[in-house]
Amino acid sequence: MKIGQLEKINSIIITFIFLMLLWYLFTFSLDPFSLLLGGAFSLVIALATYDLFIEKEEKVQRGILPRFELFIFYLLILLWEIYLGSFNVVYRVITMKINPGIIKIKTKLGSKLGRALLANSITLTPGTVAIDLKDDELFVHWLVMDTSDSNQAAKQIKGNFEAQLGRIFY
Amino acid sequence: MIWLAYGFFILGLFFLTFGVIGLIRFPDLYTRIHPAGKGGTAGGLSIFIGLMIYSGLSALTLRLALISLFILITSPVASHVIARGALESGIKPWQQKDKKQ
Repeated sequence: MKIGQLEKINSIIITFIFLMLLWYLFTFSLDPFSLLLGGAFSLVIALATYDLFIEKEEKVQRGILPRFELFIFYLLILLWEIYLGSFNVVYRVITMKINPGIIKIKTKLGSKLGRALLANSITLTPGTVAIDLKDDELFVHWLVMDTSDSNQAAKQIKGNFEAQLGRIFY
Repeated sequence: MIWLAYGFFILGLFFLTFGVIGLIRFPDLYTRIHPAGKGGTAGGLSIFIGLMIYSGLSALTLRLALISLFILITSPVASHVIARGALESGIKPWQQKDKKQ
């Protein structure tokens, strides 16, 4: 009971701080009226949505905040991969050398958020679009199907995203 | 520095252009999602990176970074939704062997 109460207050405060930061970022003024208005609305929204903003099971798994420095590192890798993937797709558009197909691969990630991020990352990388996610199975549409073996394909599609995400959301 | 920003603008336009060309040339819905989604993301991202360099380090840069982050989150989700909707309503993916007909 006591711990539940504490957790509730905790997530309200985190949501409030996050919203307040966003408000400050968008208005960028230290005008007291603006800060008061932002604070009031942040509080109302935090009270209404703290439960949606921070999921319970995620919170239990990894304390309060995800490991931020790893997340930045992951974003940089993702940016690099997006550019590689885009050049790959441009090449396919010009040559029309495509051999599309749908393949089912498995993921080892346990956390829901991690899986969702993995699916998003797969969509952003060379010639693959994640279509569906059922438990730990991902359906991926592949622009150039090199192999029809699920394990082989999984290795190729996931690259080192899964390892990176595994370090952030374990 | 300003030329670097222009370079990013041109790169972004390059990706967007080929995204559109791919959208027209590819055979079916699933393959068309690739150039649409990826061209849009990479093109938009390049333009935003260019704008960040162009504006220099200020509050605007942080806002642009935030917008880019939202593009990174929402763009693949849109691709998923379209692809999943198509698959569930029973559209068959195009395959190489269909080409001969």
